[in-house]
Amino acid sequence: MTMRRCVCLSVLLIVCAGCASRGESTRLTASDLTHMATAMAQSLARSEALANRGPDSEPWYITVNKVQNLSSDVMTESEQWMVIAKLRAELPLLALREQKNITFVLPAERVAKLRNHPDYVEYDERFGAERQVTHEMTATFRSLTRAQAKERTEVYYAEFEMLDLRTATPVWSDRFEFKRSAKGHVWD
Amino acid sequence: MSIGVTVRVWVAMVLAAVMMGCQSSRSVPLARLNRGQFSEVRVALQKQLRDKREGNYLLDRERLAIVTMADGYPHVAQSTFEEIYDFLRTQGINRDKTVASVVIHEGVKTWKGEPFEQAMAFIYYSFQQASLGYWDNARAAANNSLFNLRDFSGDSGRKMNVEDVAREALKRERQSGDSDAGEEFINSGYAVRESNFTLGYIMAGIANQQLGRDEEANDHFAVAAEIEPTIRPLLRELRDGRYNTVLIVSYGMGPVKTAYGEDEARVGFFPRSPSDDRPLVVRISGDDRRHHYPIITDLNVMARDHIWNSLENVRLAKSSLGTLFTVGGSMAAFAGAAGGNDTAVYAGLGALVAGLAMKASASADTRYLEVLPQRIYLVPIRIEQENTTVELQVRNEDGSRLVLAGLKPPPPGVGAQLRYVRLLHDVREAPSWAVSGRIYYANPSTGPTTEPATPYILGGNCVRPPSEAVLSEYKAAGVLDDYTLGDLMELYRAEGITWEAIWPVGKHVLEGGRSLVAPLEGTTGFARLFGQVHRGYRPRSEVVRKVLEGIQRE
Repeated sequence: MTMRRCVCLSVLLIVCAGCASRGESTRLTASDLTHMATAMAQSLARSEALANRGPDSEPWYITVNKVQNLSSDVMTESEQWMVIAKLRAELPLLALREQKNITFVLPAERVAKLRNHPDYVEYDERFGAERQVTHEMTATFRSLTRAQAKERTEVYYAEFEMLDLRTATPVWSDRFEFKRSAKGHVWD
Repeated sequence: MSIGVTVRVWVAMVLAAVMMGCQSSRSVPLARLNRGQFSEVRVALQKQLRDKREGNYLLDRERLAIVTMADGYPHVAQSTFEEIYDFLRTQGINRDKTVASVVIHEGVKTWKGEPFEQAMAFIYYSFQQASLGYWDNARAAANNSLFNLRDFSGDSGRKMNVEDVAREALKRERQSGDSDAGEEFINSGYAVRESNFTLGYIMAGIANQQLGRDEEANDHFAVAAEIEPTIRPLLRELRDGRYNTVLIVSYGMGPVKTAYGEDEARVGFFPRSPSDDRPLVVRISGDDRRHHYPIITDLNVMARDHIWNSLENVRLAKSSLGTLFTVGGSMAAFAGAAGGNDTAVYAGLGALVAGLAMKASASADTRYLEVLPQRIYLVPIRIEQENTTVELQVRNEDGSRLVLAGLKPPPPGVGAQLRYVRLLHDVREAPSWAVSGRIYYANPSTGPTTEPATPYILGGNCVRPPSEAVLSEYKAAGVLDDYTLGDLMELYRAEGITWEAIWPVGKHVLEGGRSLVAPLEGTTGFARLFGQVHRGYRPRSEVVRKVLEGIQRE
């Protein structure tokens, strides 16, 4: 009987071998980026820099550059632009323009890229020419990695800053932190 | 239930289960790869991709990504690399299969590759991101290639291969008389140490330098210098930062993974291209000097070192277990039959069937990333002028000679550009396209040639995607005078020709395909595609045939 049990166990073991394990990852997720963009948009909207402004304030033209990724995770170009797009989407752009005289404009890099796209049609040669950028918003991602044989933890730290380009002084900054852990051998 | 029925059920179950674990390894046409016919290999591999439920999901993609890079299409490889990276960054995929892989077959595991193959996959992603100018992501990918490793050599400092580790485990079992001692040694007898992957440190250093993080860059260069003192002159060159172009040059075929030993239960990596220390000889147009660059990474050496390997020693135990089961099962069945004992026969036959199945599948898992090169060079150069030509050759290896035409300085505001180049291998003499140093076709990377530009599909020399600017050139050359951009696009559409770099990208029109997507200049794929004259285009559609006839009549 013992032998029969052994055989049954062997067969079960073989069958179970076909089952897949999902694994875990410490990568950034779309949900992390969305939460972060929402939090940062709220922070900017509540900031002192914006609170003191009105429709007659001198105009601000803010360019939002692509994220600089200094973290240990690869963020594709589309993910990096997604953070920016999400941040802008969370801001009441029309209200900011009308009530605070703030306009968000595309960064030069993005304008050039649009122009170079094979499907781009030049409707207006002055497209992007009147950007007169006064402020620049940057976002930098960093991370700290703790990797052991059977576990890896990543602490991500995203820092947002808006710089007055005329005075080179920051008018707003905030940061967003989150942690990701995964169990299992890194190489398994 | 009769013995016959029971045995048949067991056999069916065991075979079905074993089949679940079987992962057929699709072959890669390596001879074509050696001859630089990357587009044929690339397109073939694109059609072979299996989904995530299959154990070869990652292997398929890594093969494709590396060949796509060799073909000069880093932009096309983007989605493939994203899948690879996401999979590699997922930990514990094989967590529940460790026991099964020991008892049954290593092949039941989802293929993730040996640690050295994983490091190479990360570094190729770094090359790909850098080729597209994304140095921040190139940095992240390079950092990921520098994961910690298991080192069994302790304080001895001696280089151990995987068999040395297995012998040490067996020795401990014998000495202690405890059968678990070997397993314990395997599970915990190692020290976790930092990587010695020189190429990873150098790529991380270059990427940091491009991001203006000189301090971190120099830290990485310093580690590389410590690991490999012979490359110090190269590291000085990098640290000086006068380069604006980095060529990653690979050559030869990486080591083959082969089963060997009794029952072929052991596996090892064996060289296909022998190791040596021949440098890469580099000459840049306008400079008569020949520069020599050392090998940065030798895959033969990495694959031999136990720190870059995984569960080799476990396979030895697996083979023994398979043998024991077979012999034990046979004996029990025979004894039971002789004694008229049905229970013993059941048990014996069951063990026999299971043992045979294990034995049959116990042949070690020989899946490996066969498209890896044997060695990698890194060449930092400064390109000052448009249409610069760079000549590369492994010393005394005529067949490896490659002349890259059409290189240019990086665009303003971009520090450095990176190109991945795969040299031909196993060819006595370099083919004419590899050494022509010419660009015969107007293409998106280097623009028009000295000849007036007319579309290749209409008997001309231009394979640039349709645009207003390109159409103006055609009109200046006296063709398609009354055409609008829309009309020109329609001609291509009639032929089924596309110009979007959206995966999957097929073969280029010059090579009989239907794509105008061009490889990057400064790659082997670019040299093969534009460095030779291809046969004339044969229209497939009536509309293009008529336009062509009209042009020929004029």
